[in-house]
Amino acid sequence: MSGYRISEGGRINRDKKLDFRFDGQNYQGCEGDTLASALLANGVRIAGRGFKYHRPRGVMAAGIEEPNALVQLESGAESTPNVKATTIELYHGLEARAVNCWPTAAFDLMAVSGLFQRFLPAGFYYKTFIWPDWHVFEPLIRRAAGMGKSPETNDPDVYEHRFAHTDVLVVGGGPCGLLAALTAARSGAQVMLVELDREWGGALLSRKTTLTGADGLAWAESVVAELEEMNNVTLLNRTTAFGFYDHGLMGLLENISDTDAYQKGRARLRQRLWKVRAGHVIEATGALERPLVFPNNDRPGVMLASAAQTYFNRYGVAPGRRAVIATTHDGAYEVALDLHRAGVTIAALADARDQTDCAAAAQLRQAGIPVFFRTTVTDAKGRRGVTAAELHGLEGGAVASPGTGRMVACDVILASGGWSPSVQLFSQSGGKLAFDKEIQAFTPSHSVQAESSIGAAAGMFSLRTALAQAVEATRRAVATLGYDDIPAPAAPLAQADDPAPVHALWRVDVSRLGRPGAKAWIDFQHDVTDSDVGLAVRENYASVEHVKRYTTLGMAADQGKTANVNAIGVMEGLLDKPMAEVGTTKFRPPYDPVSLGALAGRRVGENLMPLRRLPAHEAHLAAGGRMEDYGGWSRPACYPKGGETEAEAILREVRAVRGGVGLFDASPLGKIEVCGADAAAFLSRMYVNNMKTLKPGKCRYGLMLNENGIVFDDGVVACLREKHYLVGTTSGHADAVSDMLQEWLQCEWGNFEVVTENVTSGWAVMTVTGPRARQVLSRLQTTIDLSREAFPHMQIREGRLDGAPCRLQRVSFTGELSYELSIPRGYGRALWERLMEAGAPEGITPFGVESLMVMRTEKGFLHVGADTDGATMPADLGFGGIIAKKSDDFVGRRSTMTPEATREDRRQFVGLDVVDGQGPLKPGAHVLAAGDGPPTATQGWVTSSVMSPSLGRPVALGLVQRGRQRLGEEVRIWDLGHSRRARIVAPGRYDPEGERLHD
Amino acid sequence: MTELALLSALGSTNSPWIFEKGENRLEEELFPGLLKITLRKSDRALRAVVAEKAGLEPPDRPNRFVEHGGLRCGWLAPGEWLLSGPEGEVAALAASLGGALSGTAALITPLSHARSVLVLTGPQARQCLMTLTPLNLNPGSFKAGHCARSLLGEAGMYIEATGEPPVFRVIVDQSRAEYAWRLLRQALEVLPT
Repeated sequence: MSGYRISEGGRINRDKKLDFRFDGQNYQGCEGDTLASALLANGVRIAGRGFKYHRPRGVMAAGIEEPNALVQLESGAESTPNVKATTIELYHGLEARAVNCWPTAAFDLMAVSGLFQRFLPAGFYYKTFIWPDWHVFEPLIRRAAGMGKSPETNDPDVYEHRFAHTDVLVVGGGPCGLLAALTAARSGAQVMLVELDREWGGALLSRKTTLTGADGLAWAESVVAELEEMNNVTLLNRTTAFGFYDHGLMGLLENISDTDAYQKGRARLRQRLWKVRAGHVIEATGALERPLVFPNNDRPGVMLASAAQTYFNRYGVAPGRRAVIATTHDGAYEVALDLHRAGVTIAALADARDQTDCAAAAQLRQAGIPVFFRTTVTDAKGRRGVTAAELHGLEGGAVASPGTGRMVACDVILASGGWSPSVQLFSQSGGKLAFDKEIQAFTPSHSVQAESSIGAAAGMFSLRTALAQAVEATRRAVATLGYDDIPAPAAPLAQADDPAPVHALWRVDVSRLGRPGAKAWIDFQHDVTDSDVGLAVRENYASVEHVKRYTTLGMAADQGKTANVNAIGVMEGLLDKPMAEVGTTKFRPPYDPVSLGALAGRRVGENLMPLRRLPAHEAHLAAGGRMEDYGGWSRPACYPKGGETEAEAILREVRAVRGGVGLFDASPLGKIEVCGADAAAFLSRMYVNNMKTLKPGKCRYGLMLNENGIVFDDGVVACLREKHYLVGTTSGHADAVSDMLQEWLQCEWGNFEVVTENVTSGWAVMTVTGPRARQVLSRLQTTIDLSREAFPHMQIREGRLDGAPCRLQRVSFTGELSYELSIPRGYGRALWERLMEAGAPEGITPFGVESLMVMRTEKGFLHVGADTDGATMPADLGFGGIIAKKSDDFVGRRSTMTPEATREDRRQFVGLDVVDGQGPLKPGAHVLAAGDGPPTATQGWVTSSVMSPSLGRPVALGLVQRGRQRLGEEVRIWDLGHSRRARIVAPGRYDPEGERLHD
Repeated sequence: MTELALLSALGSTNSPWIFEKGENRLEEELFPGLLKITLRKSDRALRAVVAEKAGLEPPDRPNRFVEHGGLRCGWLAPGEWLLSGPEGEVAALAASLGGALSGTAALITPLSHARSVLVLTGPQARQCLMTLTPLNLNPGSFKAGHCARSLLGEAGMYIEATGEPPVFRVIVDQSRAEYAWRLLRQALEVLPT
């Protein structure tokens, strides 16, 4: 038994008891407790285990910096791994388990790995990559390490994002943050104030503070009350500012799950991720206390001095009954006094400095508490919890002197190595840090964005000075935003305080005590010791960035909040280089872990990469369409009937089209209107093909390149009337082509009198195709003459169809007689149903994208993106002749004349016939020279391959070196060790003369 | 044969989709008349033609709309405007503008079938939209008479603020109407009451 609840004081409600479970044991805490304070109040000393060696660990801190007491909170789908017990607000029925251990933290069978400590040095993983073999160790290490466990079922909760714009964002609701927010708010600026804690007040919650003669917390409450009344202020507690990005963008994580509403099951919203654009950011993020680095400083019972003060003043919990305090500065004296008054025995206070003249020291002496100067802790005794502290006198400020030792019995060691300003957000904003010798810490020095640090975050540890500076910094900030007539509040007057300089003690040197194996922890969460850093330096990792990666120091979930500055101090000694020159590693977001759920927000399930819907979506579902993602559209792949496989459905659909008539929803086909006096000239520049000669009512196939001469898109261009064209693009490519047209018009050819508009989704497009297509259409009322003579292949007509305006094109991707009917989108579903009804006598069959792909492959029609890749040029597809005949320039033409483009052995688009009597070739299989034996160099690959229902044999297309000159040649098709035989043929084995198109 | 039946992007025929949460209301605007006017380089003479036929001049000022005689014309981009109003009136205007501007570098594109309009009203409408769009919707920055193009989740949108207490008209591509509806409804569902 160590910690205990004291009878009075603190901000908890002793009348409201809360039952909870930790590691399978039942406990009781009070309303207002955190899980950590409740565990301490129940005397629980071992709250977790070390990550690597599984040594017992106790609660070390009282806030976000806690490295040891990590828990798996709750179980099942809502379980959250690696939550700090110090930040969990206790609620009735809470259930948590320590991580890094099995079965419990108190009795951990995995602690056996501690026996192998000397075999797990810094860089252990990297060394096993070289010798003997990482794979030998991997399963063992993965099982032993790894922190908590992710839930295995879907998270039932809701996470949302929220965007906000504000003039001033104040991060931190301590005294300086509150005063800054009030100053900014009174100026009329829009203000957001965020605080990661449940309560406002920051350090005022932990330290008894008097402001202008009154209780500091009462002042804080009055400020919050005033801010709450102002409509230009947004207050967010339980909210962590985790990332400061470019242009004043701050990421915030608001925890809603900790609120009463959530716990009582009234709300489903668990967390909210804010993206805030701020005109000015004020970092009032405070500072974090540093542990002392002495042997066995990771024992349960070794705690930060400020944490003990917080547990006592805020939660009414004494961290132990008999304490030894070790410090390098004046701050810990106040802690000693607080605990002494609460009845905790202060067995000794060891100060590494020569002396101090602070008032609290005199009071301690009067109270008879032994204070030792030039002394510090050199060892913590007690395997499962501190039983004694060994003290030694110091020589040269850091070296323990033999013969000066004394053993002091205690159950808690409270250590303070000074304070490090929380400069993480400042550093993320791009700001530069400087080393301040007075406080032995890094402080903000050069701003890059519109931001200011105030209070302890700026390295200002005199509250009186910090409050005055907070008002001034805020006035300057809001003035730059145009709020310069400010009735600013007067800063409340704190007690005069002038903290004495901090003594630098980065590592207690026990070498003269003759303890070669002694280990002192620097990074508690990742189990990195001073000897690990020493080894890294000996192995010549001299840069702080390299030491970080080699030892994994500062790379745990706590991002080294308590470790980084100590590590730099240790490196100073090892490298004989001042800390300012050693420098810090780059701070990166997030400051504190952010759940994947919060990052995803609403983008889960059907909201992730949402698919676009066809106008006749419901009709496709009713017809049994198997919907899949094609270029961002939800489209039917095929329409299986009564137990058909996909292959059987495709076979039936293709046969129905070839032998009768089919119906296809082609609405995603890109449709871009191009209009203006120079429209023809413009399109001729955009396409390989000449569009200037295209007459009204006619259509022409065209190939579009990018500037590098690579095939970008293909489609049919129709001339609606003089100077007005309809550009067709491949499905799913309409936006890209539309953007490309605009880019050339806006950036390069400003003199062209042309406008364009992407009208793709305004039209529903239904393709009626097959030898009986005309009969089906003849049953609809239309103003358009459908006869072969009046309306031949590759022409377009405008008119009306069953009362609605329509555009009708005779173009075909199936190889059969085809009519593409375009009708305003709202009539799309009705048109589908009308065509199904009109085509019933012909047995009209709906068919999906996969069936269409089979038919176009039979026909040898190119599919850009499938039969072409990022290197395919028009001549490879047989467009060399068209280019040679075209006199005008076009996008990509220059690139088609480069040596690369005119190489003789380029891969060309050809057909491939299987000659071994087996099934279809594998798409992606390599084309090699014929022959047996080991595979030879690739000559190309299969790009499309299907079983042809129309020909009764496999057909394939491919890109093959010099393919067109090798028609009839047999080649070897190689795929993952299997070889097949095939023959190069001209593409288009079905109706090669195209007679059926012109029917 | 009978004429083809008309369906909204959400599949409605004559009763629009409606969702209410507290005093907030999300409603599909059935069969709105929408028209996009595209004029190469914002040509002055062509704008005069539009002004004559439509009775209102497309606004110069970015992110503002003007209203006259039941028609509203909002700025989309340099040389691009969205005109909305009763379906029949807009269709007639499209025909007359199409004729008047024929042969010029102008496009009159009927968008009634290409877009879907969702109207969000209520005291928490702003809060609801702030979960979905990076647009600055602070009351002082986006108020009645303002319009903008931005994102709604992953879909592009055009939004108009048409009244106080807030009335927002959210216009998205018709193929994303169902997605936009779902996002707005989900955002409304978790609003505290």
